[in-house]
Amino acid sequence: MEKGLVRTKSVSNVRVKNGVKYLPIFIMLCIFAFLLLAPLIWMCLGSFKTDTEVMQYPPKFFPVANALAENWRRVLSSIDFLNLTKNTVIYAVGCTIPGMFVNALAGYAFARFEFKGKNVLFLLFLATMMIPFQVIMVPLYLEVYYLGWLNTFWGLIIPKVASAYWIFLCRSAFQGLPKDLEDAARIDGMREFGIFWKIMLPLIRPAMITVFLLSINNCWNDLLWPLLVSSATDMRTLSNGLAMFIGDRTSEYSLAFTAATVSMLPMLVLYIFGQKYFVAGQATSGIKG
Amino acid sequence: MSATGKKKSISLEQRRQRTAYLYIAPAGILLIVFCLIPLLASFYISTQKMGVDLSKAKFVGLDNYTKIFTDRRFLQSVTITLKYTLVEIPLQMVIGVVLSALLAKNTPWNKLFRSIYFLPVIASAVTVGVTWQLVLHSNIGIFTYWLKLLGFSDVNLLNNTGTALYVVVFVAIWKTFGISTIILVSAIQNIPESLYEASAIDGAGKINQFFYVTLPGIMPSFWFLLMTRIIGSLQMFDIVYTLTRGGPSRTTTTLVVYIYDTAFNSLDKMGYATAMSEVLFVFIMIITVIMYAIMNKTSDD
Amino acid sequence: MKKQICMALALSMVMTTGSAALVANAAEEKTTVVFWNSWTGGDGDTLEALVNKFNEESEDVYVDMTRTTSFSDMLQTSLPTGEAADLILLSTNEINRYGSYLRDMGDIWENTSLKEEDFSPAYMSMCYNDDTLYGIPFQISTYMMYYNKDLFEQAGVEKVPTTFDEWTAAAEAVSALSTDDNPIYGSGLFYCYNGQNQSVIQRFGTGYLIEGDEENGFKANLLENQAFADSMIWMKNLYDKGYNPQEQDIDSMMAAGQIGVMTNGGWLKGSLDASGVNYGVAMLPTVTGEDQKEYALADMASFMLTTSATDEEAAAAQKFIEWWMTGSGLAACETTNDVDYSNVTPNAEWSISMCYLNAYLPTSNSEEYQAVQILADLTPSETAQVQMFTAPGNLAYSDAASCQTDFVQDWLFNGPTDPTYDDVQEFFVNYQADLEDYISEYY
Repeated sequence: MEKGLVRTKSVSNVRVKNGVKYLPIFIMLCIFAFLLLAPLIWMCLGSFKTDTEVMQYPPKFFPVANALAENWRRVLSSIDFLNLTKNTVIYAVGCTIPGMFVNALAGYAFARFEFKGKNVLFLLFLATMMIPFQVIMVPLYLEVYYLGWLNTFWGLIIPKVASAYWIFLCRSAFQGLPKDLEDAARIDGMREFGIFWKIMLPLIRPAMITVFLLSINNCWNDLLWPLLVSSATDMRTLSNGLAMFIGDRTSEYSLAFTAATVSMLPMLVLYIFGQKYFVAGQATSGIKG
Repeated sequence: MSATGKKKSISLEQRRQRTAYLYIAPAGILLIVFCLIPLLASFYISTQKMGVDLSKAKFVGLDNYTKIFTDRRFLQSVTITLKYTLVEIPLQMVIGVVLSALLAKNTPWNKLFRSIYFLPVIASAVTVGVTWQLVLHSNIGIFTYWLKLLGFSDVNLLNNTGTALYVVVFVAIWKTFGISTIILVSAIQNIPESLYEASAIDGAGKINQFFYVTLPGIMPSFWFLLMTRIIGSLQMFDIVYTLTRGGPSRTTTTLVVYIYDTAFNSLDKMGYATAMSEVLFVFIMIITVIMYAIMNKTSDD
Repeated sequence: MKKQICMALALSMVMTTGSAALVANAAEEKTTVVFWNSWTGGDGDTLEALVNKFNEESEDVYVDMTRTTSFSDMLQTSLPTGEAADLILLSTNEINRYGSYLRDMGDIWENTSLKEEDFSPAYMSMCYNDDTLYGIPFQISTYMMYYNKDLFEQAGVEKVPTTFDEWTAAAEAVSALSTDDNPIYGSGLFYCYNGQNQSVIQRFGTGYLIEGDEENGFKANLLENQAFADSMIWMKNLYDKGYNPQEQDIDSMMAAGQIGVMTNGGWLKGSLDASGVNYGVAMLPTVTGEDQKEYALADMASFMLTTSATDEEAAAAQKFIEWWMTGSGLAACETTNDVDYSNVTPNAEWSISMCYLNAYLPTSNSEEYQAVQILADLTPSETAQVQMFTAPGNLAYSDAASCQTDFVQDWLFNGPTDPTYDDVQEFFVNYQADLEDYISEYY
């Protein structure tokens, strides 16, 4: 409540006082950022180059000839970009939105409730993370087959909705909240679901945005599962369409880099957009510490 | 009166229990159907001598399991996996925590840095593998070339049995620490500002605030990261597969890479490969249970 | 609320039907043949263009192709349920692995105009298992020697190597051109690819990694094998003397003009053509420089039908195979290198444009095919050894091939410098034992 005021003041103080002190840290962050970015920028610049330019010696960071238009034309002419994107969006959103609800609910129960078998149940949930996907791949495929869900979005999405990883993440976020929070609401006569939905969930907003971004991202880059369940060509996802440009034997690097750049762009936009909501969690909370 | 009071309190507790089960049910049912049942099925597969062709499967009991411990390639890949985990986890966690502490405030610069650090997360594993392979190429790689201009000649990190694993560690951290950062930043942002104010009034400096306010505040998320990263490291697969394919000379063949290769590079070792994954499963399970116990203990304190 | 219900309904419709309408549209009245393969990257584009051409031309068959790097994962999961592709491209060495999920293709001689005697018997035999025909040859990727003509000239190498000693001599001469500014390596062996390496090793006359047959028993063939020891010593020396880079990606270096002589399959041609490197192609050396045609070491991929195909789909797929052998290739405007292939068959286009040997005699006897010098040179003798690692049909094939990947790398990275025959005998004891294990496991 009065907290908001205090905070702005302290931040502006810090900024004036520590501007110089933070310079080394700032420079360090910049160097770090460069190291991180260099390969990616090089990759993106690869989409401007021809294959020969990518492979020449001495290597060049910046492209000489501009082959971007040609590379794009070739990528777009070999895949049905719109349909692939549509499928990927359905898959990613279909997994993520119900997943956020289901996993947050479970995470909330594990974080804020005491019940019999809690530890055993939680470890059982965690156990689902511990086996490599390739091992359960065949039985899982058979299950989807017996459900009659092959080549449908149900088959693609439903098995991927619940995830121990997100449950665990939500649990950690809920645990970070002060203990007396829901008691106050309970005294006010709120119903259990209302406490979860109206009070607790908004409080872990940064975490939920994290779940949203990472989960969308996982689906976006998922190669194997969509291919297994929806092998029909018109059900294909973007990552699979673009993976065709990376061959085992022939290396069309410039096309591969163009494709990779194309698939990264939407996620980048989403991330920058998502950052805007990062602050909201605690600013609107008004928790007493 | 007292009897009804007692009854009421039991029913309240029961109601809360029931609510908890109800909340867990949707995720629980999905996980049971789509994870635990296939997991049980895979135990069955591990008792078979079989390949792709299910009709040729033959029950061999525990033979697949007894074979594991005399397999020198299995032991080698376990060593490599452990080495990988021991190097990756501390680096990943320290970098993650320090960076997120520095970047937690929502200033424009911090937002920019956070976006940059998140970029590698967005890239697919295949892209990452191809890009790093070329960037670090012993001759036409741009990094190698820059290093050469700086006076380091004959840098060949990827094709060296002594360094390849560390390159994998580096690329894996490069690829994933954006996830650690974003999770920890959101945890730090959830720490009530009043705690910082209180400690500032007590005269704590920035460093002290980090140790006495920030770190305890992000403990649940820290544990989450630590546990999931360890589980992930022990299952390391995709970066290795796209970057080095387990080479040179098997020095980056982690256990899951070996399991995967075994399943596909031979006629009837699918059951054996599955048996190895069950061993891995049990091993990870033991580590997780121990860590879970420690985690519960520390959070009680 | 109403809006939400509408949305949910719409969503569920999208989810269950997928976009079935699209498929129906494309394949109206046609039999759809689902076709999976792992031809991603450049050569896959040509395959895609050819399949599109077939779909336009054919009146009753539609081929629905998926190219993917996850090919074996897809097959492994879907074959047991009968939901796999009807038609696949598979190495003939995989026939044993997919066994009962592959369909007998013997009826192709009745259903189509193709005749068995039109296929080279040596390669055709690889498509048989226990007298059942499982495949029709699609691509025979033979390994050959690529060399950089400019570097050879600068280094004064006048004769293209035909023996391994000449390879070493050429490598030494070319490596001498290397400067700090522009590193150059005379020899370009990969340490990590078993096909490329085995193609060289076996031309030393080593025989298969596992020799023998079921009647007389099998024998691991690494120890007490002079030819094998020679091949290992030869490779190791190239690395130790610095003529051969320790690098997994030799292709890029060849394209950058940094490699004198190397071994690879026909797929490299495309990127070398684009790079502008002045290169030549020749047969790989042998020990004496003779018997060149006795080794056509290759990996053969074939069209195969799976048990997921119905009789109708199988017949339709056979029509596609027939078209592949007898139809016509792409016009110049459709190819990436502007060459016109419309006067030859798709099969011939595939062979000629990428330097793959062909098992279909009308193609390999054709004028256009014979006009390509290297293809004419590569054509094996009747008795040639065409298989690598093990004899065709050996159940331990995959294990032996991956064991080779292991031992070559182990030897190159951890073996002694300036090795002798005895060093080889000592070093390969473990791997000999591995091969013996595989034998006892399967037989």
